[in-house]
Amino acid sequence: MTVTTDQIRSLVVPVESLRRACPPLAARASPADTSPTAASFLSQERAIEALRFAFQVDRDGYNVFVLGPVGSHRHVLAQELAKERAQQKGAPPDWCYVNNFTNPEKPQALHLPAGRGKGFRDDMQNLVEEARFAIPAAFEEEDYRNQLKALEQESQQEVKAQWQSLKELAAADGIAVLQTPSGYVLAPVRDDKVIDDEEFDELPKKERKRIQAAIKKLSDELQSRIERMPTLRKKHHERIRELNQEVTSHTVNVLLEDIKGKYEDLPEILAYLDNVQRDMIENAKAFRETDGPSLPFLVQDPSSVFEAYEVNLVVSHDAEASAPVIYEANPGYTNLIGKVEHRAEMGALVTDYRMVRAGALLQANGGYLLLDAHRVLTRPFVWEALKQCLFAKRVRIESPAETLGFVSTASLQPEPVPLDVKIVIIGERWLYYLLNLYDTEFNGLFKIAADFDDDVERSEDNVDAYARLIAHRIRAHKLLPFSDSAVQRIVEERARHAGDSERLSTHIQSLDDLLVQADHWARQREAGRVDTDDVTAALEGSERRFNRVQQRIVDAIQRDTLLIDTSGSCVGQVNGLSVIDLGNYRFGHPVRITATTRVGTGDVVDIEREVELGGAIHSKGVMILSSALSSRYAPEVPLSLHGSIVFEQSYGGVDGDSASVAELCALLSSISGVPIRQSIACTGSINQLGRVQAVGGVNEKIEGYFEICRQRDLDGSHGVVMPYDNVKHLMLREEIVDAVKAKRFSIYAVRHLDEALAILTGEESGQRDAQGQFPQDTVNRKVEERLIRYATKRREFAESAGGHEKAE
Amino acid sequence: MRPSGGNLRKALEAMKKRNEGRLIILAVTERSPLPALWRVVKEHLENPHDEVITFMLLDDRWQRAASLPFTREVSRISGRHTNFTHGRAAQIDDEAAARLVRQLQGLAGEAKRQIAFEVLPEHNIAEILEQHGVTADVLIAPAELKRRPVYAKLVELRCRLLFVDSEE
Repeated sequence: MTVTTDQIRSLVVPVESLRRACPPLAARASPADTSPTAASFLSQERAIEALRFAFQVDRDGYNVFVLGPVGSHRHVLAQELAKERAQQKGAPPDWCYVNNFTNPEKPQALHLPAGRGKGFRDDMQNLVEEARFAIPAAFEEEDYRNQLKALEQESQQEVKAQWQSLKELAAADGIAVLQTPSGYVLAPVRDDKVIDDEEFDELPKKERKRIQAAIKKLSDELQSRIERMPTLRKKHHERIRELNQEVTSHTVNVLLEDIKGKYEDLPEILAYLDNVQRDMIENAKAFRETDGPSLPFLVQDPSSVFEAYEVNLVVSHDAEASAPVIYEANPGYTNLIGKVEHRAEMGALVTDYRMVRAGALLQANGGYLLLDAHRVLTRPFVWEALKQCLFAKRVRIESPAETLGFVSTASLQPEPVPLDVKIVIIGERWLYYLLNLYDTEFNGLFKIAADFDDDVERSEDNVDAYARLIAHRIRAHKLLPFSDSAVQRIVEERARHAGDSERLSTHIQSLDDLLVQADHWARQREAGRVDTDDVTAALEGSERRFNRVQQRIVDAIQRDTLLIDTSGSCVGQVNGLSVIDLGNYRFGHPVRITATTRVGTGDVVDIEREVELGGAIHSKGVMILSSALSSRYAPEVPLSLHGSIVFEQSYGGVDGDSASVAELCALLSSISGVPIRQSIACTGSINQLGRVQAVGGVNEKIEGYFEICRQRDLDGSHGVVMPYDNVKHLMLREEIVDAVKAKRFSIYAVRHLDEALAILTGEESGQRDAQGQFPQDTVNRKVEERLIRYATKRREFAESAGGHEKAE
Repeated sequence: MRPSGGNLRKALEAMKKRNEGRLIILAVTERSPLPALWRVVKEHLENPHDEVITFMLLDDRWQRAASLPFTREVSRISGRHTNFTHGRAAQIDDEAAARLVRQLQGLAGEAKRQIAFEVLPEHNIAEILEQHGVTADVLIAPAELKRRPVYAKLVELRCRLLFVDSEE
């Protein structure tokens, strides 16, 4: 392709393509006519369909990962759609933990229909309250006392009979049973008086022997009866216990009759109430000990017995409510899974089933749980715990240390609760792709991806819809009304935010920021509505707040610290354009690219890569341009060139291939000796065939270079060469559009290297003729001649060196 | 409570010289119902100068039983047998006396009275009073003494005798 200087004018981008203005808006529907979801989520059909599909499929693994940038209102959409679906589902059951009477370390999980949990908890509380009074009262009744007295008398009678019979037995042998403070002494008596040793000695030997034998026999009998005493006492206590149980049983049965009737449709609850009944009867004594202990740390507080019947309601819903939709903003392990709390008692940590707390998973059980991916992944143990729950389809409330087996101390092991929840994880795309790549279980658990679009086509319909979106956001934030021109200005800005004149950014947060800030400036001037100037003030204010780094770079260029020529010509030197992204602000600025060449072995050195300041894509660009060079020029001779390319005064990393056109032009200038106009900057990537391809950040790049030129006074020679394919992305500032209109600044759109070369050198680039030769005095001819000369020199050098170096 | 033992003589001498107030003697055994007896004593304390002397009449059955080489004490808790010695018999007497003293201290304290206390073999009570020429106005004793040999000596005392039944 040959480009003459006359044709250069045809490459100038028309003014109307530099900034696509928003036409007057059609009569817009009132925001009230549009549902908030539709208004807020313009052109997110793909994500909406994915979410709806996931919510409708009640199968394992149909959880959702919502992909999209921060600020795109992913949470709002996911929440609204979840609520929409939740309306169609009833509230899930209430869950509570109750005491496990056979194994208190494993609290029992009970579920009741939604809304009945609170009632059950209150019923049990009332039951205990009533039992605390009714049971002692039953023991105060005359009947009980009479029966108890009868039992005691019976027992006493038995004991008395034992002793009486022994005394009678002893008396028959002339022996008395004397009671000492700690036992009994058997002694012979005569005339009711104990015989002493002298009297005993006076007795006939036979009598003495008889007395001794009798005492021996009675002692054994006494011992035997004493040994039987505990059995008698035990029997007595058992009788009393049976009586107490009978009394308690009767009272408890009466108390439980009503409550059992209330829950007769819930067999699980009835079974629990049977356990309560048994336990209350077994612990009847505790109900009668109403006084607290004098030393609380030594004796168990009797009131703690009643606590065993309390109901720990961990999940509660209204009967009429829909399925829960919960967003857990802080999904730490305990917030997500739940926890078993402890309280300090006399220096020890104690717990019981009443201190089991449900996490977000249980709260959302039967509904939808929304979580932020980065929070789930950065909180310790959470991701693994979440997956485990989803796989097992149940929630086991335990500490992470227990899960990992790091603790051996006894603690509670609450019964796991069946889990039926739809998880919606919201995160950025890279997180989704990372999980997809590195977590083999991820795909099985999160089968649905709801991918948010970053922008929407700038069609007429969509512009109107966008205007409705703006109106909706204005209402949502209670802002001043916006004039039509202000809305038009915002639409244009949203195209600029999308980096594409044919698309509109759907990033809601940045839209909200602009609206709120424009509203602020309108209010500052005490206006009743927001106008274009307010929008402009908001944009300029935002830029001012962020452009410190940009300003420093511009200053450095103007003070010739960073060397950028914007006039004259120079061989092997071109103004490339670079973009710096600061997260919420990015800007472009020129960067000097130089190239040097000499005879060599056909390699082009990318100095950035050599010093490891160049990224992989940048290196790829340099390799492509090397290949383009060798394929375009002197294809029949060895490429005997050594070239080097560098971004001058660039001390940070360089990546991307958007400078490859500029780099090749600098290299060709160096080879051909044709100088490059320094008033023109260049951006664009190139392929091996010399085709110029689109790059990113074209608006910022042009604006960055324009700013430098503007400060040095625009004289009409300044301009930017950019890829033709980027024209559709142009949404330049009006200041630049005006400068182009006034022919003080030019923007060229090129499709091929030759066009860029012609603009930059001001000379024809030249195209091979029928004989395969470039025309005389064209840049390409000069390049090829120089390369052939290099090859010749190299061959001559190789020959003169004695053939040590073989020509390629 | 005034000291017992050697000081009894001084107390009795003082009694002998009294010219106002009455002397009430309370005779008790280790098994006597002290509160019931004390109620009767209080009924007879007419003015602040009235004096009370308590005699604990020792039952010699423990010493007599201990004198036999084959007597054993059988523990009420375990049924275990141990030799029943004179030392153990004396210990039982001492414990009984101490228990009575404690009870009496409590009762006398409530009545803001001072009481002399002495432990005597039960047959000695009459001789001691006669020996010191003390004449009691009232002698209060548990009814059980009526069945004991000492009863014959008590009725010879020239004072009013009141026997208190344990059921009172």
